[in-house]
Amino acid sequence: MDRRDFLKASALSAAAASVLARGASADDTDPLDPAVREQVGSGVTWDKAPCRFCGTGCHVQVGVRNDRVVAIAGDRQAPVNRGLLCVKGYHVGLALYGGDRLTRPMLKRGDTHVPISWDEALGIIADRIEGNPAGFAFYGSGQWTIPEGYAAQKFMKGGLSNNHIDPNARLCMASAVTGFISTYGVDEPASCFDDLEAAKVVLIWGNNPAEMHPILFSRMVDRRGRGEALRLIDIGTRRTRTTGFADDYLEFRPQSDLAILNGILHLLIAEDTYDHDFVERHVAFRREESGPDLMGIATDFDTFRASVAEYTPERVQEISGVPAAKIRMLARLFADREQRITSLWCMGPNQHTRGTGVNRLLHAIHLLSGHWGRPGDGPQSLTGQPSACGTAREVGTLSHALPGGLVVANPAHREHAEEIWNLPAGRVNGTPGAHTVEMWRRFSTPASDGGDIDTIWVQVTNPAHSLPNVDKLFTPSRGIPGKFLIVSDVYPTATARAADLILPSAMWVEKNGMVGNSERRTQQWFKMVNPPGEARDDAWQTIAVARKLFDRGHQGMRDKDANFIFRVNDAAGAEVPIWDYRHYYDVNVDEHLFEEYRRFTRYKHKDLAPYAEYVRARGLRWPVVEQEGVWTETRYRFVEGEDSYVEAGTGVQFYHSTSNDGRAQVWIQPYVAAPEEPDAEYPFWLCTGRVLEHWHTGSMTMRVPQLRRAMPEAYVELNATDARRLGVENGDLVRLETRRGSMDIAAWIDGRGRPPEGSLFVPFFDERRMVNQLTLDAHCPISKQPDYKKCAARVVCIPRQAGSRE
Amino acid sequence: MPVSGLVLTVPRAADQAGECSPEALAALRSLAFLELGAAKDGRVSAVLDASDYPSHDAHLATLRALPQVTWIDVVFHDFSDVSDFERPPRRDGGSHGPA
Ligand code: SF4
Repeated sequence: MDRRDFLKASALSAAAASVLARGASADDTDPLDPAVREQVGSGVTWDKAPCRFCGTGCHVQVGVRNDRVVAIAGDRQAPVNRGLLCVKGYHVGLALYGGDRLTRPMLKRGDTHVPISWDEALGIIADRIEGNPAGFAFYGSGQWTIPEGYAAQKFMKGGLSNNHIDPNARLCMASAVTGFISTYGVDEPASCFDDLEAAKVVLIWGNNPAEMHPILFSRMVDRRGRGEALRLIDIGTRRTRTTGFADDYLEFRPQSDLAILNGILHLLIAEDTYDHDFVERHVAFRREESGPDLMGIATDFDTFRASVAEYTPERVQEISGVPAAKIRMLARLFADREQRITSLWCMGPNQHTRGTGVNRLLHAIHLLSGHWGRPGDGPQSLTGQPSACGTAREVGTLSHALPGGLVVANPAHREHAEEIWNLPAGRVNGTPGAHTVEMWRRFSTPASDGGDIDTIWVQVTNPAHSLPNVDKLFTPSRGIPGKFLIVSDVYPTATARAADLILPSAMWVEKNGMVGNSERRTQQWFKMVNPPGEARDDAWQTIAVARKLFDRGHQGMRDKDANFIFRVNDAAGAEVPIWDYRHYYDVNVDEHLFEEYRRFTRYKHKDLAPYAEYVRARGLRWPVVEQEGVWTETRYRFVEGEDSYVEAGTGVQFYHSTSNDGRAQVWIQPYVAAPEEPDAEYPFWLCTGRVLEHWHTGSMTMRVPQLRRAMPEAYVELNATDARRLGVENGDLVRLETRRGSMDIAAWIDGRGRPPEGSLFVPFFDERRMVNQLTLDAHCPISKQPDYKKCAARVVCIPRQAGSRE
Repeated sequence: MPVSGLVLTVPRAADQAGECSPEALAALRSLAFLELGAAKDGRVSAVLDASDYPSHDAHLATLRALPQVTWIDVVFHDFSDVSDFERPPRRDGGSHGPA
């Protein structure tokens, strides 16, 4: 048998094992099919890592030979994916090997970038910080590993007393955060992916998991394959691949999800089908005081009832376009206590100018109906990035936050942080810093006009491509004297190419890492291959700049005992010079950072286990609590018998309740129109989003040839009736225009996604078709998350002979 | 020369006994590029062997387009002999050397 036959036998064996055993059985602890291990075996070593891409958090087994990743297999021991992967996941290893990896620090001189040494690069950053400490900002990512985000967080808030740090997760998850905090007093889903096996009905709100979270969707498809009854209801603004699997499809006008949710609440009360017992014991009512605000003031049931009274099914139909009978159908599902209903959502409700409000209402329909806290019965928001939860939300790399769910505005929280970091009292600044949109607006505004942020260090993200209304928030900065952009990345993205200083980064299994997925699951992996050239870990870059400042005498880089704030000792107690990359892996810096971070997590009952527990596991869902010597994860938060912080006899206890009585808050949240709606001049709704093959701005997946070939360029989805009226045929180039910009793009009529008449959809992965030159930077006033899902646009036909496709 | 181990979800037999539909299995067996393995509960294991990536991708597209295939999961992928990588398009139309 030659090597190729071996490989084929291995592949078939792994697939057969998945089919016959649905992953490894309890007594089979081998994460790889033994045949794969044996037959691929010669010279290949295997280790576990979470997939680099989405927030599902699948685990892969990574095969390495001669310092190169050569094979990927689904990890049979991983509870999330049970040995399976999606098309992006199995190409994840190839994302390391694009031909244009950045391998040296480079400084912009004139129109070109010239290589410089690491020491020079670190010195330039230190100069910028010392030159204007208050004008320095750090822009990070939900792709930062937990230790990377923690290092940046400590550097900024603990070292520089500067809160201008925010992650790109502001653009995707901030409304979910404010929804959870204002409902339960603490962030992140209480339920978990186990719901997908226990639900009888799954409601999919403005979300396309068949393409965006394919492994979770495949778990649902798999149940149907076993003959289980599972009703899928797709509630969206356009037909997608998910719609093809749905039992019901409810198409609503953009923004009117607010009305539909209020309609369900109205019927639950009007028909007296809400869960009196659950509401009596576990729910309080709340309203905003005089305008949008996070915590609001208490109100009563009668006021709440009056607030939803106008949302009759007929009125909701008028606003949303969803037939009144379908609104009644939804309300009756929630009225049925025998049902197990899971609501799934992601970007649709989050990227919304009332994102906090939609999130609150999604929780409200479950709380009012008592569909909360049983397996398969509850609200579950999903994330798009691998560590939007683990890093952005839990480490708290947001401009107002501290690690572990703490906030800078709370003096007790600041004191707690200063104690853990061994800093002098008052070091942590109590004023929240600039959130993403504000940070970039100030960076793109001359100092003379109030643009007081003059230096931004970007790590692991691509804002020149992903910010909304990019020609307002990003592009102007590149022409304003004195503005300095530093970018750490692995590839020359649009942002890196626009930078003044480029730092080459290590990626995924080229470094140690930890991430946290959408179900509170913290995951760990070890470095398996070396990064190319002089590319280095992002956490090292942060620590090395901190050390440069320390060496120059910066007081912020010293703790109370005058030690370096990132001091790491070896087993004998001697300091290891981790700022010197040659010594960075003499110790496990990730472990040191994580163990320190872990001390924050008990404050808000987000307990994490010791690092070593994550080395053994395929992730553990927090709170992870030690019980009789065993570190035990939590599937369902706030539920007696599942969550060890819930007092016996309470059943359900919201122990971070903002009303201090163990209750969750159901909010009054009326429908309000979108800030920009179609009109005579711009008659279409424009929605943006993602596709199966590409991950976000495509900086990794567009470098994987087969993914790029499978989806080579962006397109605009157009309804067939609109296309006929406009005289547009499939593949024709059209000009898309909004009040902010225009671009030429090919039309796809009745393609993979099918928008209704008067609606358009453009994916944002393609750098040549930068749809964020067209999008709106209007955002939710509470979460500050922009609305990428709706603005007004028009389509202009380009005569065929004049338009040519690239 | 990529090799992929796949799990294909297909309709179950009409008697709902948990087996895969014979029509679906017949459709898959007719594909020369696919080698089938164990099948159970509406799921079929298979290996996709291709001489190069363009044909690998074309085969996957063929599978996706089959009405008998409702879902494709991948459990194994070997790309140890891939060496040439395309570079992505750039907004400014420049070349793809280091920035
Ligand atoms: S579903 Fe997400 S995490 Fe899982 S393999 Fe696909 S991209 Fe990776």
